[in-house]
Amino acid sequence: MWHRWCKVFFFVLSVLYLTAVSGETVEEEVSETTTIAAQVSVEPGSQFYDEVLQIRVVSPMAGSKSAIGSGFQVSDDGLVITNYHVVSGFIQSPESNTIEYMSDSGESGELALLNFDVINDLAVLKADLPRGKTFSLAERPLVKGELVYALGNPYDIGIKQVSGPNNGLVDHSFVEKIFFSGSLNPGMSGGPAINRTGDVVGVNVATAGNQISFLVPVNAVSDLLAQDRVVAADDYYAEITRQIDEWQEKRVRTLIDDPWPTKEFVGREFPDEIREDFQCWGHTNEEATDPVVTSVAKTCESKDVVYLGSWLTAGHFHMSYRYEKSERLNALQFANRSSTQMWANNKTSYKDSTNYSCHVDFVDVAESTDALTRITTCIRAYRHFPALYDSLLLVEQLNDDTSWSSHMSVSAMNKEHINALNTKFTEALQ
Amino acid sequence: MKHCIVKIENGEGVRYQSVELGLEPIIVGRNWGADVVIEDRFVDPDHLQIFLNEDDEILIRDLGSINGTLLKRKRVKDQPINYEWTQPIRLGDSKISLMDAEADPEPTLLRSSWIGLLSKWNSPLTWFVSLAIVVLVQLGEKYLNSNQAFDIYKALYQVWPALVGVVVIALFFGLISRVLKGENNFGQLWILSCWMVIVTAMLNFFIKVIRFNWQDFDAGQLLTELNGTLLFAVFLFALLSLISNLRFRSRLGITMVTAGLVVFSLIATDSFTEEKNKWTSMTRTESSTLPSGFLLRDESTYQNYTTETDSLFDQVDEEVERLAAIDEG
Repeated sequence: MWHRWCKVFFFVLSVLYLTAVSGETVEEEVSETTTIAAQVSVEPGSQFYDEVLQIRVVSPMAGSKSAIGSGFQVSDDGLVITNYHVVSGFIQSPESNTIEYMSDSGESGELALLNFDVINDLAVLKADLPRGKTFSLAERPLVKGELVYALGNPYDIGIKQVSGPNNGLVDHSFVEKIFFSGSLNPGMSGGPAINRTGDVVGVNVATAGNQISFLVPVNAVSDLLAQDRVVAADDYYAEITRQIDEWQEKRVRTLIDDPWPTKEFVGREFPDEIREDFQCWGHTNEEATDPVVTSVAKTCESKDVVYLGSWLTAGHFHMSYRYEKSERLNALQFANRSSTQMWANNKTSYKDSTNYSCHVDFVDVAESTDALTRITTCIRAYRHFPALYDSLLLVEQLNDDTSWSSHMSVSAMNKEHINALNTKFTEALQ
Repeated sequence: MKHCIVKIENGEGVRYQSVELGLEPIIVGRNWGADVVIEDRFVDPDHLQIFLNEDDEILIRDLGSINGTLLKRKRVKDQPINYEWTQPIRLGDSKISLMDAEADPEPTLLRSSWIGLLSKWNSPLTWFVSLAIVVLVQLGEKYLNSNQAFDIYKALYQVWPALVGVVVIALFFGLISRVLKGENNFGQLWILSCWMVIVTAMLNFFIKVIRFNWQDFDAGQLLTELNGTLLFAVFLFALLSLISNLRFRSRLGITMVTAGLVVFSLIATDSFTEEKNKWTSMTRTESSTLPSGFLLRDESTYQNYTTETDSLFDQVDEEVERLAAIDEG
């Protein structure tokens, strides 16, 4: 029996080995063909292969890299641009990490973090030994449909390029992003996206798969460079807090001041896609045969999220509604279905936030109805972003045979914004 | 045959046991298999025999015990001697005497505690009625706590564990009671565990109403746990009374200590948990919900409500400071 298993095991091994060898031979063939590249048309990105850098966050204790991305030099004195998320591990613990670069030809050196922009996902680094090759930022605005070449080091394979058309800015977002129809892959983050003349038009940032990728527009890069300042390691968290708060003010102020459009949901008006950056999805259980309750649900969400690290996201804005009507349950059984339990929408951990503190009570909000209104408010604080909180709000209107639960969850906002939005949401339900 | 009551006095206190005397001798000793068990290290496992002769006279005979048996300050040998009602027999540090059950001067002393009430009601009818109430209460509980359509077969299936519990408690502790105390308390234990289940269910619903009404009072869970501990303490006390010969004070002591340990472990599990393991992305709030008719108090005003929620920000800010202090220390 064991012999048979061993045989199978060796067979599998040999197949894997062959695959790896054949993979290598293919690569060799490709490099042979490049010798005749002069005679054929080659995409313009190819001439910049050695100018694109691989950016590594290295943990000297582990003696190995903890994150890789791409970057590019933009000034003669050695300023390098990459994504904030590439170096987020360094920002979390600058004392136990270093940032290094490596070029395609093997040149390497250390980088210092100067400044960053968490909203647009950018970071400015400075090389100790500037390299001669720099990219220039495009001054001409990008035309919709224009071909863009994104450069970077996917999966640590080496600097590669992908091309695809620019499909314009992503609509209705409080974070400007170029919709690029090319395939970005992990490791290419922070690499430059250039136009046909070789000027940088954007920075690779994210992908949603199937040629749906996003670039940070180049004007965000020039704005960050124009700030010309150095953030001290001790001030990283304070700086992140300031940037998020400023962005939230821009995003939330009009929501607080302007009336919210409503839409009918099972015969009542509820705030729905309150602005163009919100999207809603609905769901009913009507297809279930002989259900004990009929339930209708709707979820609305803002697209914008701030990515602070693989362990931490913020800026979520989420609303959801659920209507339930008893079909076969008595009042006691129907009441048992209600629960005040809620879950956070954003990602954090013990290191970054406290537990939720909650207050739940029955509140006399509408004199006319006999429905019982129960409101649950839960707040948690960020441990390193002073005065920013996550909030969960649940307003339940409970009758003996019908119930409405309305939920709003916001993340990384200050107290004034949370209180104003919570009051506005509660009032909009009456 | 003669029905008589044995009065046993030793360091544990006084207790009574009823026995049937006949031509076949009964055995008194430390052995758990003895007919009258005496917990006394100076008493032999099989110490003494008591029996009737053809003329219905009571005879006692020592079984060659190490420390001997005294009747009227005289040593009892392996030669049977006559015994008169109520004469004290000394064995080790203990003293026993026999009383005629028909002409007993103190029959009510057989079981002197409030647990004796159970003995008064101990009859097959009570067993059956108690069990029927258990089934009804359990079904009612399942009916009220269900959030699905009520299914009688499914509910009956869920009642099973409670019934098995009643039988197991009655059999298991009944056996211990028989061995340690020499009393047959099977019926009393049956009734006790039935009522334990019934009272638990009723208290649980009562607590749910309280938790629903004081929704903002975040001690609902604690209330449920304390209620459980209280019921457990009452049950433990009654159980000790029925199965052992402990004095009232010892029974109370054991009960208090055990209940204290339960409360302590409830509190301690929280304080011994590491801070990072207490972290959750979920909210923990009072979730009991009942139809609006059960709300016996006025609702809060929105203004009062927002004042309360305003203080949540200060609470979590303090939590940030507390966690920072823990991480540094």
